[in-house]
Amino acid sequence: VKIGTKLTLAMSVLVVAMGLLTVAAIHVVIGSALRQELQQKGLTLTGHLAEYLANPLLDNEQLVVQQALDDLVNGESDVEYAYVIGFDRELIAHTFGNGFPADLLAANPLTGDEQQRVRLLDTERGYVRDVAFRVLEGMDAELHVGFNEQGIRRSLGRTTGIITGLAVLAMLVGWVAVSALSRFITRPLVSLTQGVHRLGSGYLEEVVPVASGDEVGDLARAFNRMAANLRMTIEQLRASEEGYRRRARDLAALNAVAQAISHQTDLEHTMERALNKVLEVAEARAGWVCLARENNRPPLLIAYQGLPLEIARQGMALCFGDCLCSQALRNHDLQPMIVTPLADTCPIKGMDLGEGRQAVCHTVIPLAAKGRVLGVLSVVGHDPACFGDEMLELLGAIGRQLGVAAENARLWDELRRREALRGQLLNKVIVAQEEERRRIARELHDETSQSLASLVVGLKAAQAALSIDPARSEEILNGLRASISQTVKELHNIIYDLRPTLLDDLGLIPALRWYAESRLEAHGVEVELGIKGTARRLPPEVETALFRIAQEAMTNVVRHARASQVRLGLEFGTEAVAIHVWDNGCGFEVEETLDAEDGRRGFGLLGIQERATLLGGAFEVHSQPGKGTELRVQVPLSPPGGEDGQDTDLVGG
Amino acid sequence: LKKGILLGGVLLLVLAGCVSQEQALPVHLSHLVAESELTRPAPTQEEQIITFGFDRRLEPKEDVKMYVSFLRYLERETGYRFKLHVSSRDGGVVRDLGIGVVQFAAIGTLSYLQARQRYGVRMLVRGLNAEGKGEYQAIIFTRPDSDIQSIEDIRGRSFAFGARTSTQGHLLPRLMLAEVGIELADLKAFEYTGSHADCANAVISGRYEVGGMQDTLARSLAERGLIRIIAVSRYYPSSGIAVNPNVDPQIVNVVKEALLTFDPLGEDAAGLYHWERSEMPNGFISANDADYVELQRWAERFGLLD
Repeated sequence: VKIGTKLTLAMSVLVVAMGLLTVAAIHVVIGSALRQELQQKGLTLTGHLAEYLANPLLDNEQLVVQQALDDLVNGESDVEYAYVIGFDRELIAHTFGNGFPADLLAANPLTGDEQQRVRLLDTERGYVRDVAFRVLEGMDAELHVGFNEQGIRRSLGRTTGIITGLAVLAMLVGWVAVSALSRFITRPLVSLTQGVHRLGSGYLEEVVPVASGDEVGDLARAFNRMAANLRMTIEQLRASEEGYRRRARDLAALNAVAQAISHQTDLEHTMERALNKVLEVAEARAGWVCLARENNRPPLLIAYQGLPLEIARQGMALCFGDCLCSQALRNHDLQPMIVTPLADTCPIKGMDLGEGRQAVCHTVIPLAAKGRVLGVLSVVGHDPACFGDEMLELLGAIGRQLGVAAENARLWDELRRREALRGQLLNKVIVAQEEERRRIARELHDETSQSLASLVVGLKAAQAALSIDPARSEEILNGLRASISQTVKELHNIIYDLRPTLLDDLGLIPALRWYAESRLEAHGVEVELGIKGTARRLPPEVETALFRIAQEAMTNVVRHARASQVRLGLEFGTEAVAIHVWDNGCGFEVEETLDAEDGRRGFGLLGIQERATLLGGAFEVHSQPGKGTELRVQVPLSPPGGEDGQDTDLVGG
Repeated sequence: LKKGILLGGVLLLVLAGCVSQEQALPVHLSHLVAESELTRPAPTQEEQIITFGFDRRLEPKEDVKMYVSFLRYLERETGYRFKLHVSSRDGGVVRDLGIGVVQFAAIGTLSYLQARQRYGVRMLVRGLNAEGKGEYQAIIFTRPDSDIQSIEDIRGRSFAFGARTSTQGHLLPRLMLAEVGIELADLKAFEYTGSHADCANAVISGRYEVGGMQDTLARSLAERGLIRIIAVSRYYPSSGIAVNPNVDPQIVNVVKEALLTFDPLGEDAAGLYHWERSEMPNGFISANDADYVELQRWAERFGLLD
């Protein structure tokens, strides 16, 4: 229900209630006053009449009394009747003519010392107030006068009519006034209500005009303040929501990239999925991922999206010639950046991105790991403003993830390669062992066994000759003794080939010197051994590893280098020891040899590298065809790990 | 709004309660019956009521008011209930007292003499005058501008008496006239006007030249210049309270005791209505029949005791 209707209704109820109350009050108050006045008038009139009638009654002048009563009834319009009871309680006179009301005498009798008494009678002529007055105090004579209240009721009726008319008039006037007042009051409220509705419908900019300084004006001002606060709060919420949404998007992107990285072992697929996700997050259509390659080779375009095929195949190489992409790769610049404007040589410049947009910029997001830039993530944009700080930050985080992924992939490749080499090396070791065993068996069979067999034969001959020809026996025994010495020497050589005792007994330097002299010089190769630093005994596994490295290098010299000079060098440092072997042989292509598919060609070098790695050392080989070979291995003297030790033992064994 | 309606309802109820406080007794004014068929309310049962009469002197209602207030005193003092009875003029009280319609009555000397003569009524007390005696006087008066100077000048003039049964208004003035040899026949005219006031009015108005009345009222009128006093009588036993001979002596004694202790000028003045207008304004003394011998003789001479 509207306020105007309420006010009108309330006013009507109020006016009606007030009218009823007024009528009732008038009935009560004025009626009471009129009745009191009538009663007072009755008492006064009756009292005076009683006073007047006292003497006639005492003198028993009944005519006088009757005349007085008749005069009273005829003279006073509201006097209904009058009668007198004499001193002997007999009815002296009355105004009823012939007869007297049967129940009137007992209606209002005076009792005891009562001087006057008033009693309301309900008669067929209306309410009559019977006023009884003792004519003389102490005497039984009573004068009764009946005063009709019809006059009062007529007055009250007239008054009620007037009041009712006034109430109706007041209601009409009040209705008009309330209607005007309600319109005056509710107009700003209606405006305020409309404002509330509009605010509820989402029009937060709604401002209710404040036209007054009253409570409604205060309410409007409060509403405007509330709306302003609401606007501010909603804006904050929107900003927070935008932030949360952006953060969620970023997290989703990062999560997607992380999932792509974690699920895909194939780096190319990983990068493709990551690029797709990046483009989705950046709301871009084109982009690519390039990975750096070693040996100054051009970057590898590992994934791309939205690029024309010819650009993808050819243009990127050109692009990397001048673009910041290559600079980032070269300089390991870890900061994401935006390339804009694009150089004229950039193949994507002006590329159509759909919807009438053209490529005017692209990002350079380094794929970094361990402080190195392993690649670049580029997203093509039509407007540099598309890549705000937050977007660059997100792309940077994705770039770091992808960098780690690239690094992990590289490490995985390295690990697989090494595992493959390790397997090949192990196979080689087993083959070498078998060959060594065959060689030992062959030598024992061909030489030692034959020598021992001839010794057996010689001993039989000596035994036989001993009884027949003792001199011949002695000659035979001398020959056997020389044969035994030769056999022992052969066994000694076999044993030395297995592991020179000099290494255990005298250390690395005598063992290297013996081996070089015994192996290289026997093949006409001039050997020079140089020592730097303070020579000392090294841990057995280091001495063994360095001896085997040198042994392998010298074996390679004998087998492949066709060198005439070899320089062996040992450098004893406080924390490391290094060995290098140089020859003036034919040399070889290091990369080709190491990257050979079967690896067989590099098994010697790989064995050297493996041993150095097991000891935590570094291996370098420099060679070019026709320019000899220089090999250097440096091993730290700090104790290696347990596994290395085991490997050392394994290799050494 | 609800509170307002509730409050209005409460007010209406209160007002309605105020309106409906007075209960109206149903009476049929049109249902008339003959007066003989009327059923009068039964009088209240009263233990014992002593009726009291009086010798009418003043205006009837004034007499009633005065004696009613006097009876209130007697009721307080005796514990009896008294009721005033209004007797008719011209000796009605003598008869009522004699036959027992009233047990006690305030009567003048002449009325007493008549009652004693006829019914054996006994005077209990006499009223005291200003000098503390149980006597009063009568005064013959005229208008201030009258040429009558002495009582002897009354011969041949018109004379206004009070009531014929009045002592001061008739017996004593006539006694005074008789003592100077003036009889009723010597007067040009005479009339029993009824009361002392009527007598005074008759003279003052000029209808009669001379009048006789009680001393107290005459002196009062003379002081105001309304009349001029010509002659004053001797002192005679004043009016008093007489009793029917059949009244219980115990009651008589109680009432007499109360009368003798009546102090209208002192402690009993409150509640009295113009008692000074009575013939016993100063209280009472006990009465003695020997005091009435002379007046008995004059009354008999004038034929007032027949």
